[in-house]
Amino acid sequence: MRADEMLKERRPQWEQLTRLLEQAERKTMPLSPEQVQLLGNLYRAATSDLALAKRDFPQHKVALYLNQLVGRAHAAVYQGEPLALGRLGRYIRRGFPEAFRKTKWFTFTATLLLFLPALFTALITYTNPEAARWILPPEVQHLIPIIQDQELWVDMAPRERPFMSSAIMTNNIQVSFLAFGGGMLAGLLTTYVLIFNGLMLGGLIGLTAHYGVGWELSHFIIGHGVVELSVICMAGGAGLQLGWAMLRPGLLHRRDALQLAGGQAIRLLVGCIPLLVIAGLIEGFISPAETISPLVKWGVGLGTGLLLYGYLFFAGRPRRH
Amino acid sequence: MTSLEELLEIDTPENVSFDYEVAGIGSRFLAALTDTLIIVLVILALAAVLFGVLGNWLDGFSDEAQFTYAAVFILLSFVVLWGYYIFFETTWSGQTPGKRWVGLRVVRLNGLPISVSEAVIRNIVRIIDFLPTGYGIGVVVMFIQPQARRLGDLAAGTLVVFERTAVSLDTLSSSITPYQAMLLGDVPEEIAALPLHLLPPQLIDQIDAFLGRRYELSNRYEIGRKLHHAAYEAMALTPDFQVRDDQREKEMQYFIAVYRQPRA
Repeated sequence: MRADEMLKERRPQWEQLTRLLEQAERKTMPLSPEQVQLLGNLYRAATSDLALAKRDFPQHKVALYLNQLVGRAHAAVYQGEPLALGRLGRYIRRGFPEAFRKTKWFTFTATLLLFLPALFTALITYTNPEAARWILPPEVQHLIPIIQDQELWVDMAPRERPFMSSAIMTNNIQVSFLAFGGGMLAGLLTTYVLIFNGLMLGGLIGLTAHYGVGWELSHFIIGHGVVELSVICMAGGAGLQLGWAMLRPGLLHRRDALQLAGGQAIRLLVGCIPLLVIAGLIEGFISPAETISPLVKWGVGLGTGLLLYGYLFFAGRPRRH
Repeated sequence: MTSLEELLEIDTPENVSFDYEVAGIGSRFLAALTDTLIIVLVILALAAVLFGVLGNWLDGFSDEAQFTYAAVFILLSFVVLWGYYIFFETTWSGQTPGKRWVGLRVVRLNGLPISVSEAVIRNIVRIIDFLPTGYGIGVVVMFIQPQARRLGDLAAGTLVVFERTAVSLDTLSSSITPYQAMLLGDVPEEIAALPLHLLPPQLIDQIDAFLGRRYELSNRYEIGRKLHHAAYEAMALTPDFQVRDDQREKEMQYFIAVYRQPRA
């Protein structure tokens, strides 16, 4: 068949298909069942037109047009599941806890990468406070004299709290993103982020313990710390998962292993974001408040911890009959 | 279609394949630059509104208000910064304003449109692609990767393609637009008198294709001459060798115009 013959003969169908596609893409008016059926038939007819065109006149503009049309129709016919609120509910009830359980060993490894260096530096600065000068990174060096005066840096004027809360929240979320994305560098950046934060945390804790303000610090940290540190470990775990897929793809192509791990890991990370918002709120409003007794803060910390881990370990499990 | 472009061939379940042209670093960078510009402008506008307009009006209020403004600003600019790409790539099925302007689209490796999951993954990993500054890592990865995918694309299983909208149904009918036909004017008598029905359809197609692409061809006049002679030979006439090249092309346009005239 020749190009202009096909054009003359099939033009009405192509125009009809284009109109249906425009309506489908605009998403304002959904297609009726008859229209969907028609779309399918027109799409299939267009694919056979394309096959003919590629055989008979592959360089012709009509073949290019059909290539475009089929591509566009293909995208409309084989659409994925649309974003619906029901999916969000399913994710909260089942998706997120399941993702956590599936990746718990990665999360556990991340926890070790965070806490072991912390333990190490805490012991060092506790017994040897001068070591803080070279253990702690430059950005927290200014806290050393404050601690030596047996003060803490956590006092925040009440009016500053909304600002500090939002700043902390957004910073933590970005660190989690960094920990997650860092997995793409064979897990190296993730490991670095975890160890670095662990060293810093441990160094500060050991120093405050040495100068007798350790308990005071713990009262401050415990409120938000359980959730916050858990999330950092989860984000780290997600990143390590990516790195693992890159290093040990198994029987898959590296790119397929990465894609698979990416899909799994993101299901863990996305759930972390609201958790960090909660932690940020606690850290901004509850933890620094002098009017709230340490007992309450510990209650908040342990309570949130119980709720979180209860949810992560038990929610969405299939019921046994 | 030249073979210099990187093509992504998609096999449909209908056993017919079509292809997308894969976008390279240059186009992608241009789109990213445009998007960054838009984000910066939005955040600046946000700051102007919060601290300028509203701030002046509520200046009488305490420091507390100002800190709350700061809090709101931080949250909103965070949402804009991270949400921009995710929002647009989800609702516009793989396009952002910058990509739309350049004519690009993010699709899955099998050519299908992306979903929220892909949009979220590739845009969170963006933070790594951006390191150490200005998409340093991203550019290196895109350079090495044959389909110009950055780390975000590798994690999400996506790539960026050109959205070809160049060919529309209207341009298909004839190489001569009504405007051009108007410029050509009436067909000269000597051409209308030629036995153009003797021209084989394949030759008409070739002349049509030539006329459509002649500006891109390096050996334009040589091909024009060959087609012109072939046309005259098919009509069993001798071509005029003295005619100028542009005159030749104009004659061939008349051939097409007459040939494609709707017959009574």
